[in-house]
Amino acid sequence: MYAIEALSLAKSYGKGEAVSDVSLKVGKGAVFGFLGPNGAGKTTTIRMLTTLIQPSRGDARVLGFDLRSHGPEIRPHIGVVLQGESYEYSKSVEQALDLYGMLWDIPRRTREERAETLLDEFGLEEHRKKLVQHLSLGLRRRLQVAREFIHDAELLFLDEPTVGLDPIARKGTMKMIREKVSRGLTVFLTTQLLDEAETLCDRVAVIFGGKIISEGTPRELKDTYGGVRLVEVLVGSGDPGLLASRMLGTRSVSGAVTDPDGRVRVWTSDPSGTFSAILGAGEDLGLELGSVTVREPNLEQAFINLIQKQGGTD
Amino acid sequence: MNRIARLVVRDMWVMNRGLLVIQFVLPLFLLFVASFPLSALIAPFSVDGLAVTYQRFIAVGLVAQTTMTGSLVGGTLLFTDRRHGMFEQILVGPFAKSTYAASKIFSSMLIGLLGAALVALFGLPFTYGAAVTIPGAAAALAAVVLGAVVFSGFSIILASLFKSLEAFEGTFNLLFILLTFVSSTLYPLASVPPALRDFMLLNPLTYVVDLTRAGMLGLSSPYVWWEGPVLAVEAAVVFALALASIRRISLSGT
Repeated sequence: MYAIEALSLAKSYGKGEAVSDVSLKVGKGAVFGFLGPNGAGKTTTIRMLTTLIQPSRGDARVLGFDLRSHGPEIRPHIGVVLQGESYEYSKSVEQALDLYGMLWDIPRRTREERAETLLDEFGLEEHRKKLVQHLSLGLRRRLQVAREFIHDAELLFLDEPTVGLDPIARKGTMKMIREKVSRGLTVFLTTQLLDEAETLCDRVAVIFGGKIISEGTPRELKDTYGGVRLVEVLVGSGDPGLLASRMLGTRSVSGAVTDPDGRVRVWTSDPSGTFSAILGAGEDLGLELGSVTVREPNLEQAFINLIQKQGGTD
Repeated sequence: MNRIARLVVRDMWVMNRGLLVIQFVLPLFLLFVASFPLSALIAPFSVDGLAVTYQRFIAVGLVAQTTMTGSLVGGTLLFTDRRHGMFEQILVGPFAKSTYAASKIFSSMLIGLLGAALVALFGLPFTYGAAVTIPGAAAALAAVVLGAVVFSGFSIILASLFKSLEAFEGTFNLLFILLTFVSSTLYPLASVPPALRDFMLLNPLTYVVDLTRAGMLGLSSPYVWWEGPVLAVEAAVVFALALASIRRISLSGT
């Protein structure tokens, strides 16, 4: 059974469509990345899947329950970090955590224990007595993310959870997510930080203009849309410039430069062919090659290429 | 714990304590400061054949008025939740909109009723000697509870309409003054010009005040016989409208 199964979900506002066609399946215990440029429909999709708004068309099942008719059955099993801020402004950090646990009917002892762990994991320990309204934006975001771990969600929706977080808090968040995923939590994540998605997600879908335009593992997306690869060659002895010049005349190579440290960088659409060509050229030119490394494109590059292909600018 | 109860407990924890204190300032000021010089100006008067001092008259009226003030605070609970994002956050938790709406009405009622109880406690010395009967006290209590429903619901409807804090607070303050002074809280209906009396009889606070006075002090008026049923109908209608208004709050715009 899937944690989420959506078929042609759509949401209209007046004459405009925020989401026009979202179909996806999220396996239980997986981290699913939902990527897209600003205004693509990520947040609207999350708001539908978390039962905040009803879809205009299409169907979905969340944790086996029909989205349209079983909201009350779905919500006790999900955790949601919405994109917008939400906080108990008049309470201290520890009181806010406790209050949130109480809302979820977590027994007092359990929520006290969990609150201690979360204060520590999210770097909130030294701020525990401060009123939430006096915290910085980043600290409030930390608290907003942290409190979703005080209850036992099976499926966690995270709408750009690390916006405004410093690297330490981001690391804490990622650690907590990984730990919970290892115990069976399913995560539906939107983020603009694609390195985050690349390291965390089992699968990703890219939404653009309200429609899903690609879906797969991060590796599949990089392979399909990553474009040119970078091959780095460390020349031990001989003139690296000769190798760069030779490679510029090779099919599938779009660029080659020499660095001051003797490294030659070659951009190619055919890494394995180029790899062989470099070895052959090295032998022909009498160069001693120290190492040859093929750099993989990252998800960010693949994402940019994919969006540009659709006519977008992000 | 029941879901509504959990939300009510949360409301009690997060509510603005300053607002709570402020709701007692006016009734206690009127009771312990203004009523003394006013009593010197207003001699004991007779209502329905019963002699009553001005202090006793307003002591009971202020209990009803505090029910209104406290219950109106409920609207600020909803407004604050919307302002700080907790409205949506709670609705993606284990709570239905109807549960949330009911909790807000109960929280507001609770604040209003606790406030009324406190003012009643302070006002007790002024009512010393009144022949309170059990049916009379029950009728007064029913009126105060119905009033709490009406004003809680009313404040929630208002809070669901406004997006600007300034507009909400401005309207809230204006309503507070209008409802208090165009009611029988501070003066008997019989003593005001007919045109003003007609307006006062459109004000639910007048019904709550009149019914509470009738129950606690035996001070009847020609209107009491219909004020009770009308208040009950108003309470039912406003409760339904308040539930509907929370259900209709747009969740799409943020």
